[in-house]
Amino acid sequence: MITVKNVSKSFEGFMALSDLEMNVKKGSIYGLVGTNGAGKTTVIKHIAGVYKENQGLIQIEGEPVYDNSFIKERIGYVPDDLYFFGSYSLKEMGRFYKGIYPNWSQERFDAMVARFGLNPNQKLTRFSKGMQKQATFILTMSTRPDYLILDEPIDGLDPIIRKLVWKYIVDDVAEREMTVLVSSHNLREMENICDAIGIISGGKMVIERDLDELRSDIHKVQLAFSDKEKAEGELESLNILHREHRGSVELLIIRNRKDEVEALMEKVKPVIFDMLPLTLEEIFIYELGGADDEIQGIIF
Amino acid sequence: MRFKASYFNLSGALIGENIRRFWALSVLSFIGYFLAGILPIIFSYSRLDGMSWQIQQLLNNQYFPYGFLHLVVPVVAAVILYRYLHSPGSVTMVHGLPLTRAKIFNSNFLSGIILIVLPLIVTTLILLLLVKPVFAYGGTEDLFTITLVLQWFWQSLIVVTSVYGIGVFAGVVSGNTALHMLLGFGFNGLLPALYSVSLAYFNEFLFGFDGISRWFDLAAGIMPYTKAIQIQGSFSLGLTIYYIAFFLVVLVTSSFLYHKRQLEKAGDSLVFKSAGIVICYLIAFFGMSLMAFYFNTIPLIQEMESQGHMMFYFGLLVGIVIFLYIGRMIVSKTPRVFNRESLKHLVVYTLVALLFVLAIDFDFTGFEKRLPKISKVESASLTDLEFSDDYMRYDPVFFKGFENEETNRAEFIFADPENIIALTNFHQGLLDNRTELEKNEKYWSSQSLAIKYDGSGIFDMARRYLVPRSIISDSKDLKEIFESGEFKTKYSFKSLAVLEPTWIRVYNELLRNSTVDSYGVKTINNAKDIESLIAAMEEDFQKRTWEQHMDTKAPLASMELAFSGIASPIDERYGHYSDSYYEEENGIKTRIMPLVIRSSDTNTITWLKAQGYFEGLRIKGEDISYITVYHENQDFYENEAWTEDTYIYQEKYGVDWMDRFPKVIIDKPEDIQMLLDSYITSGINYGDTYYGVITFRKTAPFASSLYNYQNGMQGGEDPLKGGITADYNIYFDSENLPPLLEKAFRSAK
Repeated sequence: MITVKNVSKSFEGFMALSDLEMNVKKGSIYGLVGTNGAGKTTVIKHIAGVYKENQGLIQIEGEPVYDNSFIKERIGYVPDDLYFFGSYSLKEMGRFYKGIYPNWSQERFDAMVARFGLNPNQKLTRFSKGMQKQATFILTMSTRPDYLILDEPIDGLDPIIRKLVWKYIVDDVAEREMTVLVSSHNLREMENICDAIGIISGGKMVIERDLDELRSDIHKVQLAFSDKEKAEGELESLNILHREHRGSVELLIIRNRKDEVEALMEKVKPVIFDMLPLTLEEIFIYELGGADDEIQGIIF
Repeated sequence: MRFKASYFNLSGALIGENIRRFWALSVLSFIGYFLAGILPIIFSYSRLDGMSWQIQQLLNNQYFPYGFLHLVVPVVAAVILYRYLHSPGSVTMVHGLPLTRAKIFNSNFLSGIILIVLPLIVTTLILLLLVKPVFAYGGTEDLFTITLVLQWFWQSLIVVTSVYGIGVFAGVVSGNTALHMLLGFGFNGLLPALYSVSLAYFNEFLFGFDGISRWFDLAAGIMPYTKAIQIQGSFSLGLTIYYIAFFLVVLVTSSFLYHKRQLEKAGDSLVFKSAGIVICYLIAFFGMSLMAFYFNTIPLIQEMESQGHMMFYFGLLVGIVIFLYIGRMIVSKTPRVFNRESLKHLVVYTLVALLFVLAIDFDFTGFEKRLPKISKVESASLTDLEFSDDYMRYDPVFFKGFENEETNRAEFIFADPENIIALTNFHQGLLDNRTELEKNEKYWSSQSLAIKYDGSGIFDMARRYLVPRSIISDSKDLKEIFESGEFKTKYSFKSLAVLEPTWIRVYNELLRNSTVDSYGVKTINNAKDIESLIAAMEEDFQKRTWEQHMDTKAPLASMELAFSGIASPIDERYGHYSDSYYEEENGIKTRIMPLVIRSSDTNTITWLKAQGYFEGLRIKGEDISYITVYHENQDFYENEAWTEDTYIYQEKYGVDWMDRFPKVIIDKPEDIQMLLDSYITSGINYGDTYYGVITFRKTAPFASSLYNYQNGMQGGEDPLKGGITADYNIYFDSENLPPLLEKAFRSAK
């Protein structure tokens, strides 16, 4: 488990992180979402042990991360800003990583290189940006990390490679209970992958939720009643976050358990009753209960 | 976070990778050492004596290519190994690795040491294989030995590791590679530069500050690189310990700062705010000093005799403003620094700088007036006894008891309490006459005197003053010292390191320098004669007074004593002369002591006359046709005509260049003799001088030996009386002009 407790960080008077709290459960995929400059990379660099916090604590399995080589051996970090030793090929970088990381798997490395179709003997500086990202991903995954930290990993990757990347990640999560922290500025992208989401803005965690928990609690229903007045009274027992009239049909966003909703519908017997899937975006919009400029900026 | 020093915390993988990445630096470095030093030795291997100087320079680290490599290679190593700190991508990648900061720092540091030391080791091994006896011309010391090669390796090791350590320190405090490189080189000279500039201030403002000589050694000695360039030979044990300690301090400091370094500042000029302020102020300091000293050379008002330090302070303030802002631009990485923050730094720095300069100018520490407590002085010394024509007679190389092997002319050290008191009194007298000394009106005859006191409770009591000759001559205290038993014993002919000269020569200085065959030189070879002459000279020396010693009149004659078997350690090491002449005859090395014979040396004169060596030592008036005395004064040069080139003047005006000057001709024999007996050879004011050109009669016995006769330059018939001029002038100046000449020039106007 990754724990970030009351972490603050300033850069020459500018507060990059302010009393940030974050929790990433073991074996989960956590999506860290925020606009540019929100502090995503900063918090990720703290978790990866690159930066030291001014205040607060960052721990993995109860151990502080900063300057802790034993913990860092188990962390795989793919930064946004890539760097390789000058004139090194992928193979040579692999050799270096092999010497540094005790859990390095040469078999995996070779398999992934072949799978991604990269030339291991070509200089990495000659790779395109997307290929460099793939190379970094291969190197990182070959260290067989228990904690994988990805900073905007799939920018610049084509859809096929993206799918491949996520496949590897998901497989490792399933097989080894690898914990993943991935940052993005795109909520829609995180939707299908993440188990939990945190939205960061201005260095602060604005909202942090398990997606399942969210989804089980919030529903979008379309209703139409023959006796609207009678139904209205029954509906008051629900926690309605949002209500919209579209002619004779009503669109409701309800925060109640599904069985509760279904039981009520049995009672009021609407003419039309559809339970529709909610996007993550919609969940967050209605969860926050109104227009929030910052969040609007993130999710639209 | 607690700082834990764990210098053995290393990552073999990182070190190995660094070697793999940067091995080319070691190879290139070795190629440099090989091509510049080893290859020439191999090419000249059969006749290495011809390369003795180069080998000596190389093994003393005075060889430019090696000096260049010793500086550049370690700094480049530091830059390439630590440049990952200077960009966000690389610093993230490296610090994202499962290595502690200590491991990263230590491993990179050790990698650099390996890279820079390996070429040295290989070079040393090759040199050791090439070692064979090599001697300088005239030297007896082998200059290419195993010991010297190993000394070179050890000294080079100290130098390159220190330069590297400083390069790493520069990398830790700087935020980009360009500044890292600049500071890597700059910091290696920073302390000596700061020290030297401070010395320049002390020298400028502090009356009596002896800034040039020994303090420069200290400045160079602060850093091993500058010391290696400056000295010949290996570092002393004390220096070696100091340099090792210095290296360790730099290492520990760099490691500490590395732990404190905020990685997010990669790309900024400087990572630590305090470093930025220090760099900015250093730039301002050097810049203001440059401007101040430059403006100090510009006269504010041309006719103003003394402008004090007005221009200095003006330049200082101009320099502060310009260079502080330049410094701010450099550390802020922007030209837009004209803001309140910079103004605040300007005010702070100006106050600090002015305080520094004023503290020196007004001598807050009382340096200028300080004299030691006599009870604490164990010995005192006075250097540069160059008061008279025969100053080389006091070269310590000829005498027993001079232990200082590093200088050719050691200090004359007093231990006699009375002499110490006399010297202190003399010193006090100089302080009392400060105004006169500072005016230095009689600059032509001023002597630079260094006074030093030593004792267990004394620190830094060394002073140097430019003292007019008149003060020296009239000094009762120096008289007391010169006429003391201590002085007379130390420089007695009985205290010679070799008591019996091989030969003695006596000669007429004027004729010796005017004739092709050194006319009139007489040589005494007989051992008994030499012994009795030395005895006579000893008597004269013991009775000689200070006034006689300081007499500016030309000596009666000159003398040389030749000694064999006196070895100067400096000469033996380097195979070249010291100031005392060094003549090789039949394979025997001879060292010559030049002296003069004064008119007061009555015993010596009596002996020479009795033995028949005096004949020809003095020019007779009857051999001279006339003497033309010219009066040359600096004031004449305000007239444009005076400054014209010799030949242009002659063409334009149809007269000889020298005839521009007022002149008189002295042709009466008794007047000529008076001039010959009274001309001076020291303390001459060349700004207002009277010089006499002697025209000899053709009937003079040495006429045909005169250069001018031989060369036919000015010989042959002359318009006046026929004669040959000597290629040697006699001098007077306005302070000791004989009344005869004074009257003659007055009449000539």
